[in-house]
Amino acid sequence: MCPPLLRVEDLRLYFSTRKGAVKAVDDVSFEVDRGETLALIGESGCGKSSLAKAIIRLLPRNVSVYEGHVYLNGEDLMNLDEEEFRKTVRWTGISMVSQAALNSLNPVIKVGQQVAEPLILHKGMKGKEALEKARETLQRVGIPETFADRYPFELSGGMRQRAIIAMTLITNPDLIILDEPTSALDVLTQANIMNLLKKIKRELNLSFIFITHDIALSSELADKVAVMYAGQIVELSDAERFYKSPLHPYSTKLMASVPTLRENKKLEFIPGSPPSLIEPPKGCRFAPRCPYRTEDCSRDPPLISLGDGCYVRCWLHWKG
Amino acid sequence: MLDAGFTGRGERMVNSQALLSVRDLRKWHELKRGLFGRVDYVKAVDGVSFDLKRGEAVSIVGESGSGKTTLGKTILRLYKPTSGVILFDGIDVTNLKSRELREYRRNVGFVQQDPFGALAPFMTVRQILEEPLIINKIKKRERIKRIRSSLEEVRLTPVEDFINKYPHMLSGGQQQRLVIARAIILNPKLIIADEPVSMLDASVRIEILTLLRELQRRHNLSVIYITHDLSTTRYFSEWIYIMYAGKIVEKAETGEVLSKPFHPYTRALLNATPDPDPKNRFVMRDVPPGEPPSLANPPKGCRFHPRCIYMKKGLCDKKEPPEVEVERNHLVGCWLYA
Ligand SMILES: Nc1ncnc2c1ncn2[C@@H]1O[C@H](COP(=O)(O)OP(=O)(O)O)[C@@H](O)[C@H]1O
Ligand SMILES: Nc1ncnc2c1ncn2[C@@H]1O[C@H](COP(=O)(O)OP(=O)(O)O)[C@@H](O)[C@H]1O
Ligand SMILES: [Mg+2]
Ligand SMILES: [Mg+2]
Repeated sequence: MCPPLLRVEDLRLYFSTRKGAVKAVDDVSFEVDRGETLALIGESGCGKSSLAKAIIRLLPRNVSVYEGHVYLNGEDLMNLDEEEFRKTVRWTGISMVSQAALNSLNPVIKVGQQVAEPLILHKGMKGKEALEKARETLQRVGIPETFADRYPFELSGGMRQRAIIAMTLITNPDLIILDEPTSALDVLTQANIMNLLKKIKRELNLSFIFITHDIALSSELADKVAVMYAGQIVELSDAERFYKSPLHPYSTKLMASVPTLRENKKLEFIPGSPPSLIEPPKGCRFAPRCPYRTEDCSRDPPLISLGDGCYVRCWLHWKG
Repeated sequence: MLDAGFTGRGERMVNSQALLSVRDLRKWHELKRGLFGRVDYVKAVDGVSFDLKRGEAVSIVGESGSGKTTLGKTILRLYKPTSGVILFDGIDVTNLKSRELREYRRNVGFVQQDPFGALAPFMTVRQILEEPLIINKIKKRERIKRIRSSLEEVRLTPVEDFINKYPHMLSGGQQQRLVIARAIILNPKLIIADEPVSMLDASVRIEILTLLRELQRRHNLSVIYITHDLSTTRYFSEWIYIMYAGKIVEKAETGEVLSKPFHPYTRALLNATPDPDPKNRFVMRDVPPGEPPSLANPPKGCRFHPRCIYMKKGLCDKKEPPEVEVERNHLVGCWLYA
């Protein structure tokens, strides 16, 4: 049997700070198949961007723990040194639209040049050939090729985000991580970008990890959903199941807080706020806010398999 | 003159029930160009008219740059209107100055988008809430009473736990509660909340909007809820006004706008806003390409015409559409219905 495209196992990423270690990613495991999109959702500060950085290994300086396994096509990337990782994985295997990407374009370099850059740096392609490919890729994402000769400030926010998507596509990676790719954009521009991502997903059979705090938006792309809370994945479900009946109490409450446009429902919110990642609560990290908590919850719940690739980290579902 | 705004039925015209009436309001921001001293304008609010009844909430919905903040700040009289009329509680406040203006502002609470930016970092919760009371010459004993009760109203309780804290010691949601406490402390009749929850997480959003709704009902407040997020409007307002490029293009009761949108732009906004649904990933959303126009040089005629599939050449690109009452109390600025 062929291994999943991406398999993350027991991944941890801690940051050292004066107040102690921030356990931003704390024992995370999941898989993504070829052509599949995993949406990673959860409130801000729960570790979504950190998980993305841990996978593509773009780490800040103050990392104190970085361990576990990240298999891409069966190969454990954690065994690669930085040089090998840069040469064989980043951009070529996995690329990323980072959360602040919209402002990360270099203002004094023409758009086409910037889109071509990963090809030159990571695939050793010649400048002229790379620029040709950049024009082609820009067209694919809905930017007229003449825009290749413009500077970033001459493009609207939506156009710039398209250019950034072109940049992540140009090296033909197997997996693209999208970290809040539309959160700085307006509703209509966002919908246009989501249409583009759907088209790319279908045409290229690419895999995405789509990170967002917006649950309604996550359903625009998700085949599978991972819900993160306080550095851990608390639920992993397929989309059909998740959006109809989420399992973890955190997911249920989060879903109940999503206002729907097309039907009326009773909105709820979760009292309290997410815990500190320096000293997370013992046992289940959601227990202090959970209406269903029992005595069991003072012990760490395992990630319980419910079959069909669905998992939930909650004692309520324990049948052992 | 006040009748000019609405073409519709009598009861929607200025009447005793309206707390706020805005007629043909314009706010053009000056953009000074050095060359030849020529002055250019950003027509951020360009002919807006509406009524807001006592005790009712209206959502003003539009994308960024459509003029929502300018409209809110002009009604607050933080900006001087370029032209038009603002009537509040029967009084023309369009050109008020100094003492009278201060009097008016007491009646209008303001909640901004970024709570942290709205709170002075070196002041405690108590000082933040006391400031407007001091400015309005309220006696010390009464001040303490009011500070307590407004903190209780926004549920920053027990009061003792919060009163000596600095803003940075509060979570984003608590900061916004504090901003709301300050906005209601002078017992206003109207609250203008400008994207009050757009910096907050989903669950905290609902918490804050629910609180605003409670305050509205408890004190019979009128609320102008400015937002770019159509999905929250259903739960928190009686009316929706859709704003595009400095103009309101559709006005109706909330349920009407959401179930029977008429303006092509309103329809696009609805199409663009997903509900959580696993089927979404298989469908493309029907939204127009392009981006809103520059308000320094807005398109002639209907401002949406360059992006509109129903655009009639020679009409929509030439003449501004009239406001048509397509159904009772449902007003649309579009040539399709004229
Ligand atoms: N370099 C760092 N040093 C210390 N703490 C960090 C660092 N980067 C992120 N964090 C903290 O880690 C937690 C998770 O952050 P992040 O991964 O950005 O969450 P999300 O993307 O879900 O909002 C937060 O508490 C954040 O403050
Ligand atoms: N003080 C100002 N001076 C000049 N232009 C402004 C000012 N405030 C806003 N604008 C411009 O007016 C237009 C409307 O802005 P704004 O009212 O902030 O819209 P919104 O709140 O809907 O995003 C934008 O083009 C903006 O750049
Ligand atoms: Mg993030
Ligand atoms: Mg604004």
